[in-house]
Amino acid sequence: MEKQTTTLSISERYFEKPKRLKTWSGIPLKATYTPEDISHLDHARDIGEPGAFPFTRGIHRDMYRGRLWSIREICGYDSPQATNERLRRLIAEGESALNVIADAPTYCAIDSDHPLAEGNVGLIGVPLCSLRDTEIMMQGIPIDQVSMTLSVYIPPVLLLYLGAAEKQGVPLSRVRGTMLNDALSQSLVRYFGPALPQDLGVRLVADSLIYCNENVPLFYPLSVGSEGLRESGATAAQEIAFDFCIARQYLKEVVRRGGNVDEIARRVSFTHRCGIDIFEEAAKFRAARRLWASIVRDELGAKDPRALTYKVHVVTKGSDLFPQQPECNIIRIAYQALAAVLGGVQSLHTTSYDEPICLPTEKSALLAVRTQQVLAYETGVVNVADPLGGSYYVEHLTDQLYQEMRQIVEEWKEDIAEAIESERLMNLLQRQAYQFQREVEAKERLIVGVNAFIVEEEEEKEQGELHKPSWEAIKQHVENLKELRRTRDVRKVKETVEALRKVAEKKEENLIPAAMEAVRNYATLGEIMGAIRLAYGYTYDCFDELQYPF
Amino acid sequence: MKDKKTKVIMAKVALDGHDRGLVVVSMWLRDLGMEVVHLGRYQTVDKVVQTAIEEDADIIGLNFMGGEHLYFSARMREKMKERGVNARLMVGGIIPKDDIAKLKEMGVDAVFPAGTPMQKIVDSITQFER
Repeated sequence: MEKQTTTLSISERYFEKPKRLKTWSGIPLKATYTPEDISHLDHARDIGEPGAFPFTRGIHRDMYRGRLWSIREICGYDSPQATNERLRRLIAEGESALNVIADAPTYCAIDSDHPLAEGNVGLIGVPLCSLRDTEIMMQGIPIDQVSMTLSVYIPPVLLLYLGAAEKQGVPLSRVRGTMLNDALSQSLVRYFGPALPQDLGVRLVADSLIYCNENVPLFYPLSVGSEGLRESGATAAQEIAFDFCIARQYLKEVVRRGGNVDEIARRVSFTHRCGIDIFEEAAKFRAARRLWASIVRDELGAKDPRALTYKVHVVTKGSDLFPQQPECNIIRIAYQALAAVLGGVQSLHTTSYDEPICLPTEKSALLAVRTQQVLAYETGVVNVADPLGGSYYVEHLTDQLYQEMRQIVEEWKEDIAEAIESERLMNLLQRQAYQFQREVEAKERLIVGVNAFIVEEEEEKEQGELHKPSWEAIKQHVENLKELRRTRDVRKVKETVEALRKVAEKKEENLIPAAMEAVRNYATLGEIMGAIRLAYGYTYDCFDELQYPF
Repeated sequence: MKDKKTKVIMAKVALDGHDRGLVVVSMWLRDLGMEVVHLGRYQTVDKVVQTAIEEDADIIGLNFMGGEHLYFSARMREKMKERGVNARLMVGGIIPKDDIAKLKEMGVDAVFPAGTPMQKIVDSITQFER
């Protein structure tokens, strides 16, 4: 706690200069940028205009004048019933789209009554075990009126949602939304269990893309990204470049299976993080658009301009938030959100400021919505497309990030799946996370409240209102599941799950229609994933606790 | 001071796999010369305790990010008692202040909420060794 910025006297502080003259990701910066720094850029080739190739300046000509970004806060608590209440509340508070996160057992594709689920159900999200749960979660929310993001990687969860649409009488052609569904990212970060081995995961993603293209045309069944890369330690350029390697892998698989790249690439979107370095993050999104357009056009051969656009849902970066003086996170999140919008993103989830302490309270979740509303309605950022375009600094940084991303995409061209499987990629990220921590401890990076401007008495201070899980609601949900197992038509469940297993064995066939049939008959997520796992020669239960029941 | 290196078992029990904190602490302790057995994610309480016995560990470190800390720390403490494991138990991650006292009451020796400086963790371990 000695010397350095934190202990300057007022007279020293009066003449203080910043010490770290780099971007968050470590790119050294000059004091000034001039026309010379962008003289190598060709405006038409590298920058263009908003809505036109290479889309550096945005995917729409009029950007937010044409339509605001979606205000899409993540939500998922205790039980489907409790989550339904929260979703309605968020709608009432002015959200423009929904975003549901599942709990850890659902992420692991096991049901809430699995022996290892106890103590995990309903904590970090909503448990979704069967169609019954999505029906309850969407009660009174007309599915054809909302765009839903399913923040889950387990592909059959999409079918639980589509099943709920059918129950509401909504044709699948009118279901809007996005699903993370990114099996490769999931096997990279393994944030949630070993449920989805790569081969099976890539098959399910490809099947979902092909099925949705034909049957659910307004839905984006794959949002490449996940929280994993960036929160695990990736730089801004790595986050984009590695995810592009992954997205390219899926598209190649779909093309191999006879899919049309112009149609399918349109249905692919991304989920990325936005950190606190305003210009680096805005430039990152600009560079990403330019690179994705060129990958899809030049490497994959797409021609339809709509297939070339990088569409992104953004989550403000949680690993930039800290529990000390937690109100500072409100400010951090506002800057992160500003950076995302200056970068021209399509959808935004501002996290809650108390996330380093506990799961969001109702109050902090509401403040997150308000953060976006202030940005959208008061600050004026929506008026002009790509407001940073033409800045010598931002154009230079955009190009620099673009070149760095391009280099990574070339370097990791063939072996991204192997790099994930062998944990080579993860080890790289972990070394960077470690380096970051070293810089924080050495005070090379200053973080207010953490290694600078510490309030010593804080230790004693109360943290105020905290989220507490409702054990009653969770217990009720598990009871509902047991009741469902007793009352559903077991013969039909068995029939459809068996049929699904047979289709899954034929690797070139699309298994989604068979899985959908099992969903309609109230087969559970655990049963559906288990049958698919068996078809691939894996154990029924990824934790080896349960046997195939049929 | 002991002759042998301090031995630490690092693990996540429960189903949440957010392990950046666990990994960074493991690397840190290793760099300080401690012997770290990094079991990583998706461990069961039984497996962690079994490993602690086999390795004759001094410390067990657990990390929680999803609100499961009370449930699983209690089980860990019970199992350690049942199997006669004397290692210290430290718990880190997203942990509200209100729960720190509860964790200590159930026998957790040290609690490190997210954002704790590494030096503080290291100091605690040094205290254990006295």
